[in-house]
Amino acid sequence: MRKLQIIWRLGVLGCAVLMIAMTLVLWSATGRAGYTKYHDPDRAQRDAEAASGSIEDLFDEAGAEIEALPEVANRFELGLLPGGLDKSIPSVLTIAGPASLIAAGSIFSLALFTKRLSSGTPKPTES
Amino acid sequence: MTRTTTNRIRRSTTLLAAIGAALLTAGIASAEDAAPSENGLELIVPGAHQDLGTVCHALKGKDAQVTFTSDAPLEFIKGTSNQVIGYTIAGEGGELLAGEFHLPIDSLDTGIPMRDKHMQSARWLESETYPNVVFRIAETTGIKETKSTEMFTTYEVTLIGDMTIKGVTREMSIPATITRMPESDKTRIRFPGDLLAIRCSYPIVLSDFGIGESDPGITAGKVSDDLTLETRLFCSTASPEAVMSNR
Repeated sequence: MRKLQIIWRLGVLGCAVLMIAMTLVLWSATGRAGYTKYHDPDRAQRDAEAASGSIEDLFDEAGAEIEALPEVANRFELGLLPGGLDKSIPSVLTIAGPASLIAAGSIFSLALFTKRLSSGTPKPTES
Repeated sequence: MTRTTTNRIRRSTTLLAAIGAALLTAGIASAEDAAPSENGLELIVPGAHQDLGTVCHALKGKDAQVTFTSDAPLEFIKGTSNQVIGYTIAGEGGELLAGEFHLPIDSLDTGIPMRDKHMQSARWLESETYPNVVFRIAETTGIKETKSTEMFTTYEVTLIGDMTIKGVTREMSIPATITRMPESDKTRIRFPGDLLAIRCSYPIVLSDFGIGESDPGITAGKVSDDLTLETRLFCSTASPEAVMSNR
């Protein structure tokens, strides 16, 4: 029974740590943004329209190179903080934060459990 | 004092008051922003500017674009707009004699709607009271031809003008590249009118315009006081409406 309790607590801790690790991997892979943002289909359409038949093409074809403006990325980026209180709420803070609390709780309860085991004190029960 | 003298004094006073009022009104009028046209595609060029040279209208929508970058220690923000309207008066060669461009604050898109709203709020750019960033060209200096072909000529210039952000105006010198492409058979079938491209990159210090001074966003390192603005505007001597309908 005790073994099962330890395994259960270790399992919870493992899942929480895995969730934190996965969140950080996703944050890193999507551009390490400060705030969460999503791909904007309207902007993508505007950009696509701009790319076709632009006046810029005319200048390019003539050999006048008008330097392009730096692009503003239009893609999903998981941020450290939520980008808003709507669909942009997932973030490292809002996902890994609760997972960290669960991990901390698991570590604390594991420490308490093993201490109790080693001292041989029975679990306090309601009288 | 005779009645005639009194009348003369009265007339002189009235005349002086009228001249003063006229001068004051002219002063205010020159400081006012040019009004947008009914269709919102261009600014109405003041009569005084129309006679200076060739009027070129900025082409809003696909081709008019501005990007700003804030590179703060804690956050990198990039925003863009393709809703710039305005005009410039082109003289000989790469000279721009006058002009005015409006960048609507509400059109700036950073990719995060909440951040855009913050930017528009009274804490930052206060778009409700000051809807546009306005740049007025006063003169062009240091004109140097850098490239010329049968179809176009490119010039390196410095644009001198007044930048107004959140109601505060500062004189600025902006290094720019101007490319002029006169209308030809090749260009006419795609875009009517003589074409002109303005490309520039310049820094803006927010505190110079009274924005974000001692704001926690800046002191905490989330927003940089020094922004970089990149502008690439395409203009045509044809009206923007005519260019749009030709696309």
